[in-house]
Amino acid sequence: MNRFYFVFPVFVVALWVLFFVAIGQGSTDSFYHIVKPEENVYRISLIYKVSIDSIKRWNNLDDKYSVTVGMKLVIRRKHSVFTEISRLLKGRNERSNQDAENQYQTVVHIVAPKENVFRISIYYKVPMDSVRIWNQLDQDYKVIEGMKLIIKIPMSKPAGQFHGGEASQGYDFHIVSGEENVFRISLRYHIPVDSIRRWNNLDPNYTVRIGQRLIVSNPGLVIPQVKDTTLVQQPDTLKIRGGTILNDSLRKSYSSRFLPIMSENEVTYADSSFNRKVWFYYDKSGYVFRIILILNLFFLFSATVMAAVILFRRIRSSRIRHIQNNCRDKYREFLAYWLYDDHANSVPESLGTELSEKIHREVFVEELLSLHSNLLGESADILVNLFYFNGLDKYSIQKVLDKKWYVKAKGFRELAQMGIIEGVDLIKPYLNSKNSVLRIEAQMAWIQLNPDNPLGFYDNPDIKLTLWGQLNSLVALKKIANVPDFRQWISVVNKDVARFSIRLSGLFKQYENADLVAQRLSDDDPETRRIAIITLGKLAVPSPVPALRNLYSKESNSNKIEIIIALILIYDMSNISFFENILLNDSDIYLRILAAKGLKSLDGEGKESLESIYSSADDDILMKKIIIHAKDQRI
Amino acid sequence: MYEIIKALNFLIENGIFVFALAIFTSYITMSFISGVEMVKYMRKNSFVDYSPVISSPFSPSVSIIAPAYNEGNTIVENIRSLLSIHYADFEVIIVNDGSKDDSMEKVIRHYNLEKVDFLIQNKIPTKPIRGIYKSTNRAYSKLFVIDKENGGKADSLNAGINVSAKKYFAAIDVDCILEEDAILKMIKPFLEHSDERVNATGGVIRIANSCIVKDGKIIKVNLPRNLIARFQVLEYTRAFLMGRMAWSRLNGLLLISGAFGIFDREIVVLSGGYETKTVGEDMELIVRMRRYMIEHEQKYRIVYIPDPLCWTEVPEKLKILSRQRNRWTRGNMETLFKHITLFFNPKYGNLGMLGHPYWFFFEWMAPIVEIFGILYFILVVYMGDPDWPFFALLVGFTYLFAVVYSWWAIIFEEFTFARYNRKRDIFYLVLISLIEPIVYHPLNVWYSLRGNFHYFIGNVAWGKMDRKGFSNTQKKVDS
Repeated sequence: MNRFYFVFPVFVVALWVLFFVAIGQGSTDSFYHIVKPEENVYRISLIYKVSIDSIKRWNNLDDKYSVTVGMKLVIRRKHSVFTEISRLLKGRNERSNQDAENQYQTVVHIVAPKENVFRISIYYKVPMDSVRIWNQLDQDYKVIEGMKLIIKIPMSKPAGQFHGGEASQGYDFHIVSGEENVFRISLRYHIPVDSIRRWNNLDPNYTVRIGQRLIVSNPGLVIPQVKDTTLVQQPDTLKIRGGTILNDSLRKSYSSRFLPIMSENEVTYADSSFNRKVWFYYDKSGYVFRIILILNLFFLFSATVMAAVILFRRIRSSRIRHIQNNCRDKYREFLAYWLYDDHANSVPESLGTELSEKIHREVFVEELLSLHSNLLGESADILVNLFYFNGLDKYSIQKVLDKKWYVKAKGFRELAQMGIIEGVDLIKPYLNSKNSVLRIEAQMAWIQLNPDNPLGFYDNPDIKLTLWGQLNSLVALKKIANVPDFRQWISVVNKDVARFSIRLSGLFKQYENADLVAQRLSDDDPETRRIAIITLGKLAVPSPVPALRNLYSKESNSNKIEIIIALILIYDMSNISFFENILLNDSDIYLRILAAKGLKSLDGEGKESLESIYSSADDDILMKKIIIHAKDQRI
Repeated sequence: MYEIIKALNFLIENGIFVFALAIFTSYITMSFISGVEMVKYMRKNSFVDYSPVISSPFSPSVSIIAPAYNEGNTIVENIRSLLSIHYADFEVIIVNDGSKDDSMEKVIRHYNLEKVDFLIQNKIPTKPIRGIYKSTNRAYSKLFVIDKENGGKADSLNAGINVSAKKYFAAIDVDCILEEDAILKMIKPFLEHSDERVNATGGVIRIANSCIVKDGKIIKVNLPRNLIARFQVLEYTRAFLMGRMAWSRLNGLLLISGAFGIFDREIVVLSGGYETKTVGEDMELIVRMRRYMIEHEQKYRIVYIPDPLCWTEVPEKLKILSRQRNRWTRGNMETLFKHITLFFNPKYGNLGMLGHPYWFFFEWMAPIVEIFGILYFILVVYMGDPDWPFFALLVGFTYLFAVVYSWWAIIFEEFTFARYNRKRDIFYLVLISLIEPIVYHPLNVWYSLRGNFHYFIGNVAWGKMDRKGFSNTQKKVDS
């Protein structure tokens, strides 16, 4: 097999591989996880399906894997190509939901009398350690009355939790696992063991079962509403870069805006002013992302299809061409033999079966027709007989009946050339078809199949005839023996038909039509008048000369040119004064040149007149140039 | 301050994104329309018998106008090739645009020319004409040679139009290789429309580099061996097979390549001939003709023929390519700004609402937006972390789109004219379209940016300098 057929699919496969690698590479993104209460490294590692050791390595944790609430942990993820694609197709909101959980609201708590960090931590349900870290307290958690403490409340919990009245909806549960007792649970949630017993109606021995759900938040606790506390924003860190001062959050939202990412960073900083949506692609569900991904897959797919099409086409066309070339040579030889060898009087049997196959038949008909179009008389008849003998006329009729216009048009052509009279009625409806090719082919076929009245269809006042159609009809007309008299159509309303018949009268020298054509000089349409003028010139009958001269002054420049040319062709001595007048008085140089040529063409008097004008035009250089130009035989 | 940056940021990103979306959409739409049109054209074309036009007394007359500047090496052969065209009623007008080499002497000697007393009507003003020559040999009676002072391509064409007396004229580059039936195929649209006046037809420009040429005919079509020329094969295929066909369907074609087009002489004269003050005279003329027809409320059409009829050499060196693209950009800009009144002007129909804005945004502005986007991206990388996965996805999208679009064009070529017979050639085209967006496209963007720069800064000097070199590289494509 050719190298081409091998290398080409390899490229397509390579493109696919490249795509997947790109997707795979793109998925090793890193982002932050912000540690929430109740979380440790082990739990985080379960969420992201990474090992605890990698989390430790990425974040330089100590050997105890100790983390605090609100701490930012770097997480890196690398998925397999397929999970990544399915994740992308499902949407990127998965991660952004996590972001929402990571969101915090910062409040300032003013320490009341007799309050300590433990109570405050229960109050806001945040770990004591975290309060210590946020406020840089010392090891014994010492706070004094009136001190302002920064507290970060996780937003993942419904705001209602903080409202005493709605607290019933906001229970926090703990599911007891093996080796846990109430004491350990109380330590975990920083709640006194008593409270747990009370909230859960436990017996005095604090007995719990594995799997039991324990309420670990105080349903009755009245917590000051968030709106009572002062909301403070995180202090903006100012950074100066490239002369522009941008604060940190702006910088981050700025970068994330260019290519939309639902980054943890952005949501963590509760700077809502930069969260405005870019309407069509900056959306949390990432649907534009998905659309583009799907489009990419689509393009890749269509590239594959296209590659296959190009390949297939090459293979198929070379095969078909091979068959066609073989057939062509064979049939060409056969036809020549059939035509010019007297001994050939029987068609080989194999031909009949071969011709029942479409591909062979097409080539055979094509060869036969092209040979026929170059032949006349007896040899042409031999070919027509061969055509009928093989029953090919039925296939031509079939073509004419086909629904596809281009097959139909081919059929018309075959009907016309082979003289299949039965097809005439089938052609009739297409004589004025809207499809120009079909119309022209039908008209040509009609002309050839109706030698007695070839242009009968011109009586239809709506018939359309473009110039191209006229050229083709002319070819068909030249093939038939008797050219009709065009007199009957010269005066019709249909412009196309009238113009064509006028021209044909000129071409076929139907002198007796000159008067009818001259009547058309008064037509409203300048194009029809132009054609009438040209035709009168071609017919060169003297009778319309006065009419032409009278028309001259009313005409546009281009028709004036035609009138002069026509008058030159008609050769009438009475035109001398007319030409002189134009040469001396007209402003258009080309008309004057033509007039001079007209004078020159009129031997004797005309030439003399031209000479006298030339000699009298001493100072008139333009006039001299015009006459010299007109006299130059070479132009 | 933040608000301003934020607003700018919003505007830029949304703007670029919408712009890119619009470009992609327009490409997809156009390739779709082109596909439909192409199938129709190919089917129609399978019936066309051009022999009636050659022999018919009804076929219209055509002047072939070919300006030449310093073409001494090839001009004799080129004229011979033009004279051998198949057509009933035509004349060949060679305009020697004040060549500094011996081309005029060569032509005079070879074709036995002598000066004739021709009176030129200056319907369109041109530079002074030194003389008009005709051959004493009857065999060359169709040949006119105009010797004039140097005035650029547009000026030469105007001189040719003044001399011509035929109904239509074909403007071609003298170094182009025309297929024998080029004029026939191009004249057909003029005859096909009876209710609208066809003002002009334009054809495909194909790349002749590395093709085998004998006696002014292409004998064997090969893919160019030079890489830069190969890229241009891809570019031309896309532009001519995909873009033009659709524009022709919408009757919004703004450009007929200066290398080969046929025009209605009367309309060209009425609308004032070629503009000599621009480097993009081919596009400017079409726009002006359209304006003329619309302003005079006449029905008209400008048609495009996808057959490969005209073959030409394209630059194989970056330096020449750079100058060519530079000039195209400036030509575009000159035309667009000269006719800025068309911009979204409903009075001008498709021309005002589609054609002009399309060229304005997607031909002129596209490279500018592109470079702007890249600069902005660099800024973002510098300021913070962009979303790399999304970035990769977008880049992948753009890349794949470019590749698929190119391959689609190759399929068009495969299914229509299939001029590249060797399997290897198609393979190379497919391969090249994989690296084209990375290698060739940035070059193009850079050249057109330079064109913009020169338009605004060094317009006059540059225009003068390279107008003289027109003959080699004046074929325009929109990519």
